[in-house]
Amino acid sequence: MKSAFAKRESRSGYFFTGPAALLMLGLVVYPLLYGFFISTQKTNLIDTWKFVGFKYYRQLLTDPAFFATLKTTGLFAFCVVLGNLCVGLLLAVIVNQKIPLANFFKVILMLPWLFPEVVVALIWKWLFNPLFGLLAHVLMITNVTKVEYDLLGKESSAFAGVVFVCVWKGYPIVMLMMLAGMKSIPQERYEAASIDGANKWQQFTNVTFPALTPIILVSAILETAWWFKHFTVIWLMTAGGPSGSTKVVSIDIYMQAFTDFNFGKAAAESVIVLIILMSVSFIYYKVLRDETE
Amino acid sequence: MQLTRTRVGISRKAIAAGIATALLIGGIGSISAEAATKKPAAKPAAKPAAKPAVAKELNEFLNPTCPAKPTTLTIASAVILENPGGKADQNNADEFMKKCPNVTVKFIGIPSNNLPEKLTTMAIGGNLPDMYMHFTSFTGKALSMRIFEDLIPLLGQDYVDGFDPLFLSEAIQNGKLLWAPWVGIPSAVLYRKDLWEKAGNPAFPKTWDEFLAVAKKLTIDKDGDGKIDQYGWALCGLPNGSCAGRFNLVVLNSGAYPLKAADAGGFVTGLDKPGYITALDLFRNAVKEGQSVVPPGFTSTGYPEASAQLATGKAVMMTTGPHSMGIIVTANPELKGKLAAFPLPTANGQKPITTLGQHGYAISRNSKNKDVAVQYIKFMLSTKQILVYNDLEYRLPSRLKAQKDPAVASGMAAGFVNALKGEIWSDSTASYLGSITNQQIIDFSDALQGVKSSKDIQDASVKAVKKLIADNA
Repeated sequence: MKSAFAKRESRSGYFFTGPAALLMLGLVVYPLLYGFFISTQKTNLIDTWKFVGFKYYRQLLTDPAFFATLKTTGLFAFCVVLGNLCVGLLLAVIVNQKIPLANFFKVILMLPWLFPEVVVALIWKWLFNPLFGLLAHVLMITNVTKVEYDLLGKESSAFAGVVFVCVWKGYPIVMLMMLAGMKSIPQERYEAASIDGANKWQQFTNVTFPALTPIILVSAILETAWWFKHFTVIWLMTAGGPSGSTKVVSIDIYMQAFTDFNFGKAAAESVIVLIILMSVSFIYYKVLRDETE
Repeated sequence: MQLTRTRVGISRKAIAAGIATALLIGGIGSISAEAATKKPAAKPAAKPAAKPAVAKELNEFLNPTCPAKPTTLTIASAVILENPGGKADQNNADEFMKKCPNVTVKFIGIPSNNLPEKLTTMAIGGNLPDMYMHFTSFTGKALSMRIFEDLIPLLGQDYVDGFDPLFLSEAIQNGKLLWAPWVGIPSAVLYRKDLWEKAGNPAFPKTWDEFLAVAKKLTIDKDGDGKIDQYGWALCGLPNGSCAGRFNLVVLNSGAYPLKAADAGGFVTGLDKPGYITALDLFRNAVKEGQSVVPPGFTSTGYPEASAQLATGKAVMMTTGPHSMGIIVTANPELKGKLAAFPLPTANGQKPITTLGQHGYAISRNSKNKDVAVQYIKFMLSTKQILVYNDLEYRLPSRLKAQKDPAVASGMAAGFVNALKGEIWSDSTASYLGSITNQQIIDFSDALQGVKSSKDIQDASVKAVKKLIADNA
């Protein structure tokens, strides 16, 4: 039986955690539940509410166009995450060396992450502009192309263009996390490897990379979640075009809500995306736990 | 093809009565009355004696009644962000505030392509401004959300009868005036007169084939360096609403249509007509590699960029409204007097179809400053004020008296005003019209890419649109 003191302690625990719990309920749980509620309604969110059950889920899960959008989104997230990890890791390895002006380069390399996404999208959209952009001009004067190249206007290259810009924007945070991870690797391991005759590449594969694995996995989880639901850069650069080649699920949700005026269906799509991301996070978490154990 | 101006849910008798009443008091002689597809009832021979002071006040309204206490009037506007049109909006606000110093007019600038989304968000959040700019494509959503105040009781029937009936026929829905029409921009083919003359004054094309042929003739290497530097057509290929509107003009003039009210109720699409393939083929053929009559980068060319192409002489023709002349002359003042327009070509020699392209201001149902908003609307629609906008961008005034000004229908604007003599198409009031527009954006983008055949594009489009109609039935 609990003493009076223990009872007071447990009550005071609720008292101290209460505000945080209320905040969580209000800012996280309530919007999730409300979003799910909207997904079961045919509504204009003003004065028209009609319960339709799981109609929109059925429509989405039997719509090939939705699966095509999911495929584009998955491919986009995969390419950007892979790009960020590779570029971030590579640059982290380089700036971690004892090179002149290393700190200066670290600052410069962080700049893309500091720019707002809107600014990044508009700058690159201008650089890719076929009439006035730098890329088209360089391709013309180097005779790579004979006419102005419209990178964002072609189905074949628009996807690569938005992936490139997102990698340009996203690698710094990965680089920062890798750098932090590298700083925690004891120097003695490298000395031991060096004594054993390992070259730089062998030191990287046998010392650096294994030590960074947990950080790589955490970065991959966070990056996948961020880029799977990305909207801003793609919307500003291509609005999902040309011909739907860059239409990711977040753009589809936006258009369902504000163009098709179908808030219920947009909410259903959001719930499906949530389930997908939770599943991906769970898989990553299991892998990470196994690695740690 | 008969265009119907009747929308689902509105009795034809109500519309006919409204138009007949407008004509009895407003009088004939407006530019558009002779051009409307539905000819209004004839004016009676003996007109009731006008009350000169009231009639003058109805149209001039330069002395608004000011509120007793300080008031902020919020207005969501797309025009305020435009150049030079924004000066007209700002001028209205500045002049009104001089008359009523205790009123502050505060604009919320929203680009026109984002206006529907932004207004929808504001409506859901319950923070619509006192007044908002209304384009006809937003009518379905406005009706669905019920965010507007009926302006007939607020403005008074006498005042409403001073609008051009053509504007009213779109603005009055279910017997209610959803917005106060401000200006219209009938569409035609805008061209550079000087470059046209240099090319030997080719005949104005009557069909799309002739249009393409003329565009080819106008696509030349001006300076002899082996590179084309003047193109025949400034094609708007950016995947947005304003370019979709221009594509729609080609569609309408090819014998197809996106959506209209069905006689039996509901809506029906005409995208399955052969004319839709004609329109898609026109876009595809215009940008064919090696034979393009369109400047490169067309998928990034929106309406401002296309206007700039005419201003710089990079292109000669553009399907647009008279407002583009305002942008072009602002960018290149030397072009004043060197622009003109001819009617849109058609696929099979039918009467050209144009759109009125009007916009105006609505008063939000939840506004707490409706009285002030009414005073502001009447002030900005006074002849003096409305002609400021016409002077800047050649937009057709909605008020019958202002239309009588000689500058409105002459000079560079004449070709656009004459376009109203053809058939006039009005957007349907389906709340999902935006989705149809989005589908058309996908369609013309696909045509410009040249990967899918026009038939495949049409089949996919018709399937998607019919599903939309069925889902929303």
